[in-house]
Amino acid sequence: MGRKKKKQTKPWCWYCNREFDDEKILIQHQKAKHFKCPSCHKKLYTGPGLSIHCMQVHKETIDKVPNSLPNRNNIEIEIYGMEGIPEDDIKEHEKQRQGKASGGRDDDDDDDDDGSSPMTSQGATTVTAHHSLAPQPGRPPHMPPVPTMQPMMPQGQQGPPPPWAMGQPMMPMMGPMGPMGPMGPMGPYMGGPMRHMGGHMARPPMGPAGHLGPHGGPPPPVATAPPPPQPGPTKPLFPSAAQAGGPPPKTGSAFNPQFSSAGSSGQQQSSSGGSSRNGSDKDGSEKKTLITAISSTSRIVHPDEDVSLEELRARLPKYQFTKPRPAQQQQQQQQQQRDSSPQQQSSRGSSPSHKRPHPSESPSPDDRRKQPREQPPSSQAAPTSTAAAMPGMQAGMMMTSHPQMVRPPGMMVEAPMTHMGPIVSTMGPMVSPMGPMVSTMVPMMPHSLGIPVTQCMMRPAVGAMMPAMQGMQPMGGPLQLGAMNVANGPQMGHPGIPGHMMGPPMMGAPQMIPRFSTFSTWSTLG
Amino acid sequence: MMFSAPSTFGTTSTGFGGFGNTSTTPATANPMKDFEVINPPDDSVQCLEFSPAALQQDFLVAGSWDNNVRCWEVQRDGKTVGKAQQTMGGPVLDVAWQDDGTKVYMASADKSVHCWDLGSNQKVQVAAHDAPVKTVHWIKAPTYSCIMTGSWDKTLKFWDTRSPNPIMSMQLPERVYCADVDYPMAVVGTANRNIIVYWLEQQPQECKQIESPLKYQHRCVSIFRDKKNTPAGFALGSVEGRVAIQYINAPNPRDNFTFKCHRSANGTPNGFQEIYAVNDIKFHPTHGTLATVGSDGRFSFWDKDARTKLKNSEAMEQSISCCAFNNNGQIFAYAVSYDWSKGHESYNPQKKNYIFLRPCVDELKPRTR
Repeated sequence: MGRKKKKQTKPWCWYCNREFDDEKILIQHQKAKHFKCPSCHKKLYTGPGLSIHCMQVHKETIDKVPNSLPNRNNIEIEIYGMEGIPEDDIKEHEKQRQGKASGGRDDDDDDDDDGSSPMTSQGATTVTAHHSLAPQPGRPPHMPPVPTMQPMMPQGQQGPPPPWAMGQPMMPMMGPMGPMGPMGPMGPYMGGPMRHMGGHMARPPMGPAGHLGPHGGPPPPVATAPPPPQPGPTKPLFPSAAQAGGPPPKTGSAFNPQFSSAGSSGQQQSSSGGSSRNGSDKDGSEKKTLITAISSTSRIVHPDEDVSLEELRARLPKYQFTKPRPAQQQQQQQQQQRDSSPQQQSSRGSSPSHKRPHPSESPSPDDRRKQPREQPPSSQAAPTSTAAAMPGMQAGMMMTSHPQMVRPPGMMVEAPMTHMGPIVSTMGPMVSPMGPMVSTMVPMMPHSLGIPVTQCMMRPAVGAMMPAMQGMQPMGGPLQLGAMNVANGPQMGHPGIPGHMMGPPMMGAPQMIPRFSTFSTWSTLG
Repeated sequence: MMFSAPSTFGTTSTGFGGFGNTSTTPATANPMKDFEVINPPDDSVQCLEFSPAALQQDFLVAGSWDNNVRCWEVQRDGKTVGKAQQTMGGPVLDVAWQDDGTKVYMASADKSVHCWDLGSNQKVQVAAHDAPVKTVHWIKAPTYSCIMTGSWDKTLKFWDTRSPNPIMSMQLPERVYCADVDYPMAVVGTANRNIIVYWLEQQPQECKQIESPLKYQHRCVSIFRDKKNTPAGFALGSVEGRVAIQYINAPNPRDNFTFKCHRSANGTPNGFQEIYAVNDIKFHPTHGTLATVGSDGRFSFWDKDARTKLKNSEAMEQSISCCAFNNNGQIFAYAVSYDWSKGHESYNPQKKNYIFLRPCVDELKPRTR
């Protein structure tokens, strides 16, 4: 490992941070992108040159280098290729290169649409890294043995001495660390070696190391402070740890909070220990990562916070649902109370008869499922329990009760609903009662399908499915549940009820077994 | 087939003799003149899935932020017929068909996944998480079948749908943002740019974690197959208008690459280039080419092997939030609705959401080389 004799830093453009394979190309790039006169497209050679040209030829002042990063748009500085770049910026660039997870991917902005496979090499190195490095304890296996190391070497000593050579302050450590590229994992290392050093090594030596490490940022205290159990000798690091340093590495400053404070173990915790935190809360507690564009000429159309659009959206009160399951039941309760329609009585009345013949099913999957959750079982014993225990009822209730539903003041849904409860609950034993049901339903169809009502159109139709299906039953659709049962065999060794068929316990009575032909029947109705 | 030869184009392509208010659809809303699905959801469409090949007909299922999952029958002539609807306790973040077409699994922000039995129109809970469930997929292995759910609670769980407890629960480094399953491969993309690949043979197990080829938040992932028709890699889309094509075991590392998409033309002298999120990626089931849709309101078709763009659509009025191919690749469905990319401020609940259907077989033919 450690033998890190990497080729020189690639030439890069001070104005936009882009890297090039060849300085000639870099110069071409600068002329085309940064030193081109906006007015006449003449290509100048330097920023000041451009400025003078504009002033003299077009009588215009140009105060910024075109297409440059905000902090690199100084037109006064004379830069040509790699010449003239302020020393500090060179150092910073090198640091930053370390930070980038060895990507080798240039600063974006211009790889063509077809993708010149920029990150390919990365893939490869990752793989090899697995083999070559994995056995070495304490080396995160997925860290590519990468190139990016090199820049810092010159600043210290030439060949990386063996890690145990403590002669030089931090350098020995840094050598072997190089290959790690990304910052995240650096942490652990800092922690590790530091402990050894603790004795003979005082703070000061860290000084020079400061700017050598990719994240020159973390001051000694951070590095020394965590003497954490070396996080990953054998266990593969979560990439997150590596990436924590990574996100958009462009402007190191934006991310400083992440590594500087999080240090080594912090990263680890955030990946593994963070599990307890709730996904959505979590962002508050952690420093917010932001999405920032790399180049000054582009803008990512996305809220600033680096959180998925769905999470952001779900924060809107409108989309907050209150309590997960109990809410449903409450709704049902309310609904029942509000309606106090025949529905309620009928469902209550019929449900016991439904339940008794199928004792094995009595804990409807819904109920069973609720138990592991924090919901007190007692709530199921509430007056609604009978209804809740019936899948059919529940589904039905859900439809009417959901607050989001917009429905014309109509009984359109009520009608099927009233039937649905009983139907479902008694479904198993009897099929014949369906007959009349169908007839009661049919009259509805014109309403439901013929009226250009917007959303509600579908709902009655749902109700209508039930009778339709019943009608279909004798015909026997092509799809039988049998196949599914086979498919769902107990091979997985799930803790569930081994002998249970999929259909019955889940879906209610066996007769309800899906026949897709219902759809076709239904469409004939429409 | 017939679908690819639309007779009534654009205007009243929907069912029921034009009652599906297509007549009011302004031309700007349907710049590609595609078939409009009647009675679209009332809030943004989050997910779209066509029924599997097990069913002779095509059914389209859409989950949306109005908490509903809707099902339409899509007829050969491009007409759609509303079939049924279910309601969840929160916005619906993902849907998945069971391979036999009898059931649809619905993952919701209410932290649950419900199974919708289409035959009986019953729904029943089959999975639970501690946070909203972002993804659900049906896994059909020779030796088992189950659903895989990924949540913002940083777990990936596998459920036999008959048991209240997961068969398997896997801790993830971060919240699940996207996932795809194509037996025997599963890929999960999470926050903080993690990619984890699972192998599902025998039983689900982690295969490897891959360093992200992208520098920005993962948003969508889709598995593709190689010439031998076995899953070989995935396409990963990020919020920075970029897609990475990544092979699991790249024969040649150069096979992996990224390409830019869904960005505004770099036109205006002083202006910014706007970079939009890639909202969804789907591979064509027979051609192996792919479609991407973006916050910029466009869809694009690509040939990853030739590394060329096959087609770029006009811009819709709003973002395209998701897309789907039907099982034989005749139909490309895409949903035009707000995806939150411009934040809460730009959300206009009055804006109508659309789902369009496009005959796509020819447009997705791979580039002949």
